[in-house]
Amino acid sequence: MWVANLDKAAKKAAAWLINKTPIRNIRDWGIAFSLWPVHFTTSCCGAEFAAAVAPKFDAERFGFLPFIGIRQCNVLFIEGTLSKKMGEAAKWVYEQMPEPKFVVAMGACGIDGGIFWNSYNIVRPKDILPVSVFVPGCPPRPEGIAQAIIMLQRKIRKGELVKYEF
Amino acid sequence: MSLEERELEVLIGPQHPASGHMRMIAKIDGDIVVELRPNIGYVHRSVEKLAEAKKFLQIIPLVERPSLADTTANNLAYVMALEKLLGLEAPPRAQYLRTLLAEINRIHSHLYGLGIHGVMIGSSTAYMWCFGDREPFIELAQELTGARLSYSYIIPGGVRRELPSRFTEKVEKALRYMENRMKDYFNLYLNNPVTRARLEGVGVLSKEDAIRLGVAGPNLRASGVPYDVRKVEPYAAYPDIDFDIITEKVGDAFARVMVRVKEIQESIRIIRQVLKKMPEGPILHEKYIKAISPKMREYMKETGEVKFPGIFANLRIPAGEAISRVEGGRGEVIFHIISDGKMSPYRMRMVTPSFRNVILFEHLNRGVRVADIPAIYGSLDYFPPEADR
Amino acid sequence: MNFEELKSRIEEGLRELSAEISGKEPNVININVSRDKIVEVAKKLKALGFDHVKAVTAIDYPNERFEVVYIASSYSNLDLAFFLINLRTDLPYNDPTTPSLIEVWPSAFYQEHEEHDLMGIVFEGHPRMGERLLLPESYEGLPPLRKEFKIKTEGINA
Repeated sequence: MWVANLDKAAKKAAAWLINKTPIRNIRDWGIAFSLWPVHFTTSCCGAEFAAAVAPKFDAERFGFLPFIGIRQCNVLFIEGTLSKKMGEAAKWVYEQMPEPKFVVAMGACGIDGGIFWNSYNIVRPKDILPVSVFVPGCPPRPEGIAQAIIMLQRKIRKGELVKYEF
Repeated sequence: MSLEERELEVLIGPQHPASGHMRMIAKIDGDIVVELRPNIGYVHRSVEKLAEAKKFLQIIPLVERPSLADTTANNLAYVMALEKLLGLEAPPRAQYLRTLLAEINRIHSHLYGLGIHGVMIGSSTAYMWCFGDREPFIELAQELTGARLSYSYIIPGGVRRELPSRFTEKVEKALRYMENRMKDYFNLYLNNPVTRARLEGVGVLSKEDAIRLGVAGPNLRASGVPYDVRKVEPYAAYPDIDFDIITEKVGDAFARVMVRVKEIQESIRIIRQVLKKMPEGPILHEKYIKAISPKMREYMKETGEVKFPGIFANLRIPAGEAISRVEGGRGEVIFHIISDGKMSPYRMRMVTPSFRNVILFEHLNRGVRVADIPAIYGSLDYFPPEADR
Repeated sequence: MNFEELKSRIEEGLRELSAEISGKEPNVININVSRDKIVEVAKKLKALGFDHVKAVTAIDYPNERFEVVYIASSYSNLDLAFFLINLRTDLPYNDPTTPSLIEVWPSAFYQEHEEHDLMGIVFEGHPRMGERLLLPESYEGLPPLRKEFKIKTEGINA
């Protein structure tokens, strides 16, 4: 019907507009500086993650502050090894986060198991989640986390990660 | 309604406001916790099994990973077990360097525990302060060992590096800074009526229960048991050092926090003595120094960095059994190593203080209010990767 | 209290229980008992002042036996705290069952549960036998700490 078509057209127009250059840039710029990681500690790299958001390294200057409610967060930091039990929890947490959402895997364990590569109880984050940035190190230094945040921001601002489809 | 009808099951975690990779299954009746079961194993990474497939020296970084905030204790306990089997002892200077690192580590591990506890009871100030003040000590350890947290500094027969130049002055600076900060801690956090109201009289662990449940570390001492491995079975340089065992009588959450705070002050005292009494001499056992080539020995003298002798690559430990214990930041770490004379241990049992304290979740949370769960949880300084290994 | 004194006192206390006692200087005392006597021995040790368990280690000797070691010590009597009592019992390989000591030493509760989970030892009388502790609920197969359970290794020695 007529009205339905109008609705569809409006949505199409909005999608076109939001993906058009100046507005898209503003949108990506906004997202890049409002990153809210979930407070979800998976493993021992959490010690360095905590140091990164504490004074001295102060990740908040990148617009990056751990938050409690999953529904208000858009970054999932996998802080080190994912055990099988934790892997399931990580999937639930990821599914509950609203779009657009990003995953950063921290530590050698987050890449390919690290020192625990032959353990019977781990999963690789890349096998269960779409990881955008990996942070190498065992554990990575807080500077490495800052670098990961900047890389994530660059990726977002290049428009590689956020796609609006209606 | 009957109790069964009123009872609700609440799952807390593994994603929850407090930091920690565990789930607590609480049965509550209104606001009162009827029963709480810790569901651990979220960070079980099979250290004990992996150790059976690694060589003895490769296990040093492996055993550090479970308790990343307090690596020296695990490192030292493991190496002490190996040294017992090898039948050698590190030279005195190495023993002092071990003590130095262990105490620096204890300070920043306690600050870590206090900071995380601050997050749990909703005091961001405590978190920010503790984590900020932790950095000078991490930096000291970094200068000594080369790494922020995972030091792998202690090796069979000695330590890996000589004291850097002008280290004593830097340590003194950090210690003086920390002493001044302690006053602020008391003024703003520990004597704060809000903190007191949240912690005093909460989660009381009586002396009898602490002994019966085999609790470890500051949690034990907060209940009035003066047990400290550093005194009971002195290792490293502790026999020569004068320090007190910190105990509290009450056994509530506040007492557990206070034990940690006072232990920081005690560690400051120990570090000063260690630096004053530090003897001269080699930092590696002479048996291993002899095994290093003369050119490398020259290099060692110049830079103060130990080059590993070739036998370390395939270090064989004589068959036998050894138990070692060390008082880490969170409590007593125990290594029980069974060797069959090969290049890997036959069985390595690693018992960490956090694992021994898991039992307290069940015990202390019976009959408390839901809002007290984080206050109790935080006061135990429980580190899940350490418990799950 | 010195080592010899303690050893003779334990020998005296356990005389009727056919326990094999051997010492290793400076502070380890090994007590080997059969599994049907272990509860009584533990009770005697507790009466002597060894009030908690520090570690429970289960060791697998494939196709031969399992060995369970309780490392007990004392908190209430700090003279005894220096000593570590290793209470050992051998279990046949096809029937790794032993009475649980949680009635005597509640501190062994989680340690026994872990050895059940990872090594497959059954502690009779422990309320959580059959439940998982560290492994995921869905885990099936051999207990991972058994020697038959192989993990991938690297290098030429593998």
